[in-house]
Amino acid sequence: MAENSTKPEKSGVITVTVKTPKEKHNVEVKEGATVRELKEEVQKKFNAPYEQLCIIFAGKIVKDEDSLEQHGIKDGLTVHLVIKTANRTAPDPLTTRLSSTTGSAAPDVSQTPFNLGGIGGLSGLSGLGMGSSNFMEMQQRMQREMLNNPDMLRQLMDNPFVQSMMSNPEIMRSLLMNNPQMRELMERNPEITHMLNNPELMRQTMELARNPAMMQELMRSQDRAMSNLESIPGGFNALQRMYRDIQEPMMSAAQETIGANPFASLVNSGSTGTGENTQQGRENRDPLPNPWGSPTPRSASDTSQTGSTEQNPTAGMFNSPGMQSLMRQMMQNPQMISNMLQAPYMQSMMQSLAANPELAQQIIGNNPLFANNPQMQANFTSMMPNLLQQMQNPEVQNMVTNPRALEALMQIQNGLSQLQQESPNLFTSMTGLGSASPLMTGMPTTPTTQSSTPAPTSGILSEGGPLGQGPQNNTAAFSSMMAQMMQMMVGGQQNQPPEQRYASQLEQLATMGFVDREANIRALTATFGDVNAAIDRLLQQR
Amino acid sequence: MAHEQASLLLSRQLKELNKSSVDGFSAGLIDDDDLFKWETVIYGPPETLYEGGMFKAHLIFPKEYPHRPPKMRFVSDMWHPNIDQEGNVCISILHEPGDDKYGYEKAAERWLPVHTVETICISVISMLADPNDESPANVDAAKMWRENFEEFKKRVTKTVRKSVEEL
Repeated sequence: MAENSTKPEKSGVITVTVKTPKEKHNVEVKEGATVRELKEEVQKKFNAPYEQLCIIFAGKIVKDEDSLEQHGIKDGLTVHLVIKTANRTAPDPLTTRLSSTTGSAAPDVSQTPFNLGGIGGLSGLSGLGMGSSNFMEMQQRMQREMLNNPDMLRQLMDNPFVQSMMSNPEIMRSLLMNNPQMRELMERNPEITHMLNNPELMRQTMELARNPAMMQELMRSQDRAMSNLESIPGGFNALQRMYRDIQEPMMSAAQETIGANPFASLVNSGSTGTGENTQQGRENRDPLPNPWGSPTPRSASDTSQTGSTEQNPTAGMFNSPGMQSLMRQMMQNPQMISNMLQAPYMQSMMQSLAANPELAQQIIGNNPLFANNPQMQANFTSMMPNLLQQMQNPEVQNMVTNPRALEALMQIQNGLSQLQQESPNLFTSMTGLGSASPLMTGMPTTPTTQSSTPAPTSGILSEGGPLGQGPQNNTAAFSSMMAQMMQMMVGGQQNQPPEQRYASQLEQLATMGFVDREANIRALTATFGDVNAAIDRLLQQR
Repeated sequence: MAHEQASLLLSRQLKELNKSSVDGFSAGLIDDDDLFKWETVIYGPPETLYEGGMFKAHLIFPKEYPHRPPKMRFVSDMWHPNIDQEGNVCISILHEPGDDKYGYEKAAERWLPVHTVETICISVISMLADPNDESPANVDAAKMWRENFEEFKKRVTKTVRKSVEEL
């Protein structure tokens, strides 16, 4: 194939890749050669009579007497070759399937700028679970399975977890944006960014994905697109990684709590708690259960590592880089927190956390935020059950998702610490009072004259009390922790300059060709970071 | 602005396609100075009636690309239910965005800003392989395709031969 690759670069010689649907050769010609000279070389390489050769470049059929320069055929570029048949009855040179060449062609970084578009990005979604080293084979197997078993697909799509996940373009987008590889991919291909930033399109895609009939129809015709997707070098890996880092841990968490989950038998690292997966490390010959399915031989080493070091698969999930960056993002993004908290799977996750304090401890131990601060860790651990209970309180959820409420809480917090400094006695008695009052249990229906925001707050703040530890110590420690937490949550929103706060959005805008950074910042500030709205604004200003 | 965005996207696509061409078609500019006028050669897809054909087509982008679709017209003679007598390609993804007022096509099937020269050409190739006779642009071809397939085959074979002779 690559005849020239070993030869050193000679001056005055250019290498052109000549491609037919069947084969591909590199052909060397001298600089400034004519098409005729190129064809003479091609003739030798492809064993075809000169008269039957036809060179096509950039949509033009190039003529023999033209020079290569004239058409901009330069070193390293690819031209298409058509070998015409001398006789119509002879076997046609184009008999091989078009797609069959894709596999043999060397993967090229820029080979496929954006093939997802042809099928509305669906191939990307259905490719999430596809991790076989032999992608095409796996793909075909999956298609077969899917088509043979529409119930499976419907089950998958009807799963509340998948649905809630999919019905929220914001979450999907955040998840995708979170992955550095995916981001890189998006930077290289603004079209993908475009797709992801178009909530309408995302929703349509998800709508499609949820409709089994339509999905089937699409699956049938996406062979070629899939093979192209495969040739985006980063693309496949990014999808696979996203699946591994985010989807799978989420799934196992959901599985932990939803016993009747139709996935229960399908998702790996079952609830035995050993973290051992029976399917790991060997090829999956069983009917492929679902496109989000079990991990691949390729990823097996990673997964088994996690599995063996961690007692509990769910705790392992919080160790995964994906989950940690997810958490970091959550801290910076109240919108996402609210989405997450409202999602049913999140609630069940919390329930499982509440029911299993050890698990919570493990999570905390693994969280870099707490790892450096043993005191905070201990405090947090002792309060975890209550805190979780509080978190399930709808009012607390509302509060957490409301930046203004957070700010107010922050102020109260500051006030309290001040109060504590100024008159510790009063503070203690007040906290004691709080413990005695029904407020501390976080009852949302408490008929007080207080506004709803402080009510659950004081519930949280006085949580230290019933744990039977020194109320004052505990409360003080908790206060500082709360203060820190709040600072992180609120600070992430309000105190950063817009350049930092909207760094990723700015980058997106820049990739799309909006070069005026100042204008971009203004637009993003005005639209609270909504890229689409910012674009509209920018376009209108012009 | 919209204009700049279109130029940016199109010049990027041109660069990509030149660097590593995609199987099944070749695309470039008609005139090197005009990013909005493209010419392509679509190879008749294998194992179809159009196999072996080399069909020239022009792709004309509006200034509003990618928000509005380009128009595609075959310069070579074509005989296909979804290509009208003038060579204009009639596929749903090249139709203006939004819901079809006649209710035939959903918005998702129509133009989306994610489409590129490549995705369009690939769609056209798949259209050649699999005509849609529900909304024919060339009624005669559609009728022949349905009712007299042998005749349709003969007619297509003629265009295939002609397209190669014209090279």
